[in-house]
Amino acid sequence: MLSQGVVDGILVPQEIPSRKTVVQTLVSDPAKLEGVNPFAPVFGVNSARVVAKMCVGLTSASASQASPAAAQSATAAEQAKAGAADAPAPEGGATQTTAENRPSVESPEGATATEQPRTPLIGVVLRPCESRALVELAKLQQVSLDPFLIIGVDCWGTYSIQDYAEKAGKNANGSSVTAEFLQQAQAGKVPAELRNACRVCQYPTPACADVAVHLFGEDITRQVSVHALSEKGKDVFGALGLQATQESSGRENAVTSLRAARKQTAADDNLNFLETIATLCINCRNCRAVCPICYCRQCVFDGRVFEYTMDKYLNWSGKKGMLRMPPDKLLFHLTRMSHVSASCVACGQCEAACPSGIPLGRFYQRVSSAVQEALGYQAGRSIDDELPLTTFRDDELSAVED
Amino acid sequence: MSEQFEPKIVAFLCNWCSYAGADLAGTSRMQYPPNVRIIRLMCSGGLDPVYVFRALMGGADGVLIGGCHPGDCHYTNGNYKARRRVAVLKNILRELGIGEDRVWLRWISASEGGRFAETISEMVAKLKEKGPNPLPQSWAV
Repeated sequence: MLSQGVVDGILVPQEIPSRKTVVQTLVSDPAKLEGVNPFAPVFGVNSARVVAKMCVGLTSASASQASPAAAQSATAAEQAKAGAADAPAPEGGATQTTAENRPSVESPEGATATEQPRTPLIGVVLRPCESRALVELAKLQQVSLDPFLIIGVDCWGTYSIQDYAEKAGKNANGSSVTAEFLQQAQAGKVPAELRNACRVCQYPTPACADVAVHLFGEDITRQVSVHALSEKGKDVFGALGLQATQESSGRENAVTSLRAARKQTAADDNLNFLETIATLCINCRNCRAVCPICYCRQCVFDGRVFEYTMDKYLNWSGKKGMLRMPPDKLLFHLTRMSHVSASCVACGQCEAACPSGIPLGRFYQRVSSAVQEALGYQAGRSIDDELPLTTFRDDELSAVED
Repeated sequence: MSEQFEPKIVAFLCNWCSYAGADLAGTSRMQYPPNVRIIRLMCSGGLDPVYVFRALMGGADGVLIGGCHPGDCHYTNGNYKARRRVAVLKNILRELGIGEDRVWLRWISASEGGRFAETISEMVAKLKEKGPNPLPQSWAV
């Protein structure tokens, strides 16, 4: 894609040289793709935030221009034909488990079409929870999806960055944590020490992606299957001269059994929220800082509304005889939940960022799935679904009336 | 304790229907328990959940949210939006085990003084059964 100029850049996870973690990189030179590893089971930042940040200064007019992929497809298609002989359908053939999976049709000409100024197109390789968060941010008008080609990958779950680094450190002989993980996962033995949020995740498959990379039910040591899900994705397939690969027959079963197992894990949960917050929360609000959905420039909790005079403190203290200080700890959590739960994708970054190890990912998964079920909504399911709190139906929710 | 327990109710009532309904209950000299503190809003749809949480943590034993009947909203559809927000709120409270049944949503029109009085009596009876709200005493607050 990159070498043919179908995309101007690609946001893709790469291993750092020590191989102890994998980070997102924005690559514009195909030679810099050596460490690519979009299947590594580690999750540092929800990339929806990264992608949204790239839209700063983008006017809606320039973003809504015609799809650049479509404009380019003629030129690129010619090149694809030229290259087709020496690189036949990379996805269908011998794609490797880890790196080198990118559909890179090497074309000797390599000339990119840069004649006319246009909106760039950036391929972004995202996990399901990242693309779902991105879709929610688009609906919340925090990002335009036009300049992005979303490449979604199946995800069995991830380790925390600490766990991943530790495992990678033990594998000094050079064997890959990713390869080991994928082998186990494919055999139906997803490792137990995944992040909490991943252990109860109900959305392991790409959502709202333009191009989907499927792993479930595939023999991934031999191949992965790649599908164009949107018009934009089909344009790119056309430009590269690619055909969608055959869906594996085992995929549906693999996804269903994964979901069922995770539902059970979620049901077994009986954590006490009040007790946990009372004991562990230190009011740092890191959970807010890393949340892909918490997008407000200024949080209500940072405003004057939550600054009190001494009289107020004494008044509260006087009523109960005692006031836990600083106040508003639980109020912060409940308010944040009421603000984000309709769009929460349960990625668990709040938990990863919590210095006290509060299992926020579990709490948010439980609350947001209940809220979204009540509202008949699934965060990140489709760009066309309306945000649930801006719309309504006449006859609904009679259960909440008293 | 329980025989003296008088629940405190914070009622968020919309200006156009429920508040006028409460007003009618008063001007009609209807009898209802004096356990309610009314806060007037322009619309039930304008209620931020943060105020409900604040009330429950600050000592309220129950919160009543009153709006116009579906179809009657002065602002066309604020009450429908309120209903969705209350759904979010109640689901959060239920999933975290913080007493969702202390929050009531009821449609009370400007002509329903009787319904307002009944609602308060009913709520006071239910809350007396439930006992005081433990949340304000929680160390998590």
